[in-house]
Amino acid sequence: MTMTITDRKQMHRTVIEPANNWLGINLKELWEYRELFWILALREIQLRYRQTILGVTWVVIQPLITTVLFTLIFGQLLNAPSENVSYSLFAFAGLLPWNIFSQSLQRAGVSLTREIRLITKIFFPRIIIPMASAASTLIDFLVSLVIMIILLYFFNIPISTHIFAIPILLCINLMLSIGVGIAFAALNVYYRDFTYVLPFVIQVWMYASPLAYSSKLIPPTWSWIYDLNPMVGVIDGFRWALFGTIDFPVHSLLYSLAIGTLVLLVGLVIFRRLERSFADVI
Amino acid sequence: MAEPIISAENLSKRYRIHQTTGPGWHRNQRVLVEDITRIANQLRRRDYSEKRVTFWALKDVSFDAREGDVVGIIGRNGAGKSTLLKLLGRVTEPTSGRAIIYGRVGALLEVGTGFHSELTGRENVFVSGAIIGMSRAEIKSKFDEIVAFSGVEKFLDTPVKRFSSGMEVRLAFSVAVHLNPQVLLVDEVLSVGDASFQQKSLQKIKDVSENGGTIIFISHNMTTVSSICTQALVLEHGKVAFPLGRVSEAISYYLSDVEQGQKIRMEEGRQRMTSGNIKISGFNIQGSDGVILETLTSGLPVTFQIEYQAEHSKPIKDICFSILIKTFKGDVIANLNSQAALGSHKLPRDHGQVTCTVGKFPIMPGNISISLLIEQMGQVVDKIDDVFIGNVDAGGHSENEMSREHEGWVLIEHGWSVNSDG
Repeated sequence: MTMTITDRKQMHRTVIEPANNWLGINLKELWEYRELFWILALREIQLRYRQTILGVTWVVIQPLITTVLFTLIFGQLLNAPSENVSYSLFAFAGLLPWNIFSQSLQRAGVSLTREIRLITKIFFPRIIIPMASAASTLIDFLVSLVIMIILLYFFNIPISTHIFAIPILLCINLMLSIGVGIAFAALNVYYRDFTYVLPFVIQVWMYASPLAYSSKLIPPTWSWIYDLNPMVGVIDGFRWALFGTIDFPVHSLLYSLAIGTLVLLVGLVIFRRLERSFADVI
Repeated sequence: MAEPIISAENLSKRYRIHQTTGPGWHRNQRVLVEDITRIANQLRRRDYSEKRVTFWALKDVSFDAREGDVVGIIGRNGAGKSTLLKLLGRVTEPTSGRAIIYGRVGALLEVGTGFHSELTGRENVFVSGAIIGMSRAEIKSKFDEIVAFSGVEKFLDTPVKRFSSGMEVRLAFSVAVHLNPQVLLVDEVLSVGDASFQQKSLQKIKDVSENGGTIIFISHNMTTVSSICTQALVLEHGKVAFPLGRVSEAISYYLSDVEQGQKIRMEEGRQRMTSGNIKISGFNIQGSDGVILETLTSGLPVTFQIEYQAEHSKPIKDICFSILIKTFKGDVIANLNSQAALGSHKLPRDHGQVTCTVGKFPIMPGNISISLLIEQMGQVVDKIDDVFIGNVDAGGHSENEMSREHEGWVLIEHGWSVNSDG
């Protein structure tokens, strides 16, 4: 087979030059690499429980253990109010969005520094790495959601049409974790300090979110500042969608949406800004 | 005439040199401290001299390549070959200049890129194929071909961590050569595997060019370059020393340059990192009779002589000279180090000479390079990379002392016997 001199117009054209469009993400290129995104996400899932005895059972066990701990400490010992549902259900519903948030943030945040060989050897849109890491936690979310629905059945709580809000809430949730995650991932390439900062950020964020307690405990005078935490709206939104025992958190969810968009944009700018020298400094 | 497939115009890449010497704390903090200083200086609008901490790994490199061209890039370690390949492969962005490439670009940069030790061979074929830019459908359709080429069929469902390194390399290489790109970037990967696998791989690369593909090929092996390249250019200190032209002329230009490697190359840049007040001022290689040698011979005695100059008021203490013998790829084979022998000696203060004697030079015939290093109290004070690049000739060892195929890098004096009474 011989290739004749083909028309250049039909060929893929790559221009290599110093970047000047530091705000833009090349969406067309990202789309061309969509298969790599799925393969990397799949790889992360495949790898996660390799050489463990319980394997994927860990996906089920982890949130259940946390729920039991929360129930014992906050529900039984401290008698925290739980918005008219059983405390363990209340806690599990909060962990549903929180776990995917914290896990995808954690995984995305350290993802680039684990792929030094890839980054220094071969080209592809770098943002695929943290995004694939974040996406790999979706499987945990889906499993937890199934457990949640089974629990609702056992506790005789009817599933309402509110549940269709969950995909939208999940999107806001992912916007947040990916926005923060890609910023941390990029900064971590330059200064590994961010590897150690990230767990603290997540921990503080957890206490600032209505996970073990109800957001109703926050005095109304302070709620405007409390609602600045975008996870408040998301977690309350999940509880509204699953139980319907609280009002739709309009106010805090609007905050979540606005802050989520902002965080994602800032994350993209930071990432794009730092991405150029990844291969040189990692 | 159609536009070239690859057209590079004044491609340049500047790196910042990171100060990696100094005590541990400073070493770890270097980047942050440096960055803060730099930003602070910029804020105060102080003139920040970038010249001192940067160097051009590549400067104004231009060339055009067309369909079917196999372009060899020749140069010493640190001449900018790999940087050029990284720019063309978009791993890093140029500081200035630009290049236009038509068609799908595939890279055979380092074998095993994207392989994960916990995944099985089968899984890794898909992951690494996707990373180098193949679609899932494409990998599926070529899967059997890839596996057959690698010859590791039996171990496909074993995690790669249980593979021998040879098996891993063969599988990774097979994935890469089945990409069928219009432009293929090859970086010194053909040194992997046994002779027959190398032959197969070379043939595969030739196929790509015969089908109209364009190849950029980096190698230290002049035999390979002359056998597969159609054109070559020589890089020296990041600049084009010999513009893209006939392979034989490029090779002879490069070799004549290498032969001058006997002279000490004191150029500033990455080759030379002087930070102390002791400098290497001379180096030569002598035979047993004190005659200066042009090439080394395995099995014969050899003496390395290093001259230094120092700005010390007192005799010099705690100083260590190292002679690093490297393969052409830059892997260190041996480190001849004066620490134990001269560590406590006081050396003359203005200038002096140290010599290092080797009884029987135990390196196999082939191409090697030698780098010199002076350390004082554990810190590098002067370093010259590739002070010598040249050949080790066969000779001093009898035939039966050498392995027949000239395998390996070192010769070990040894004997065999038969114990018949056991």
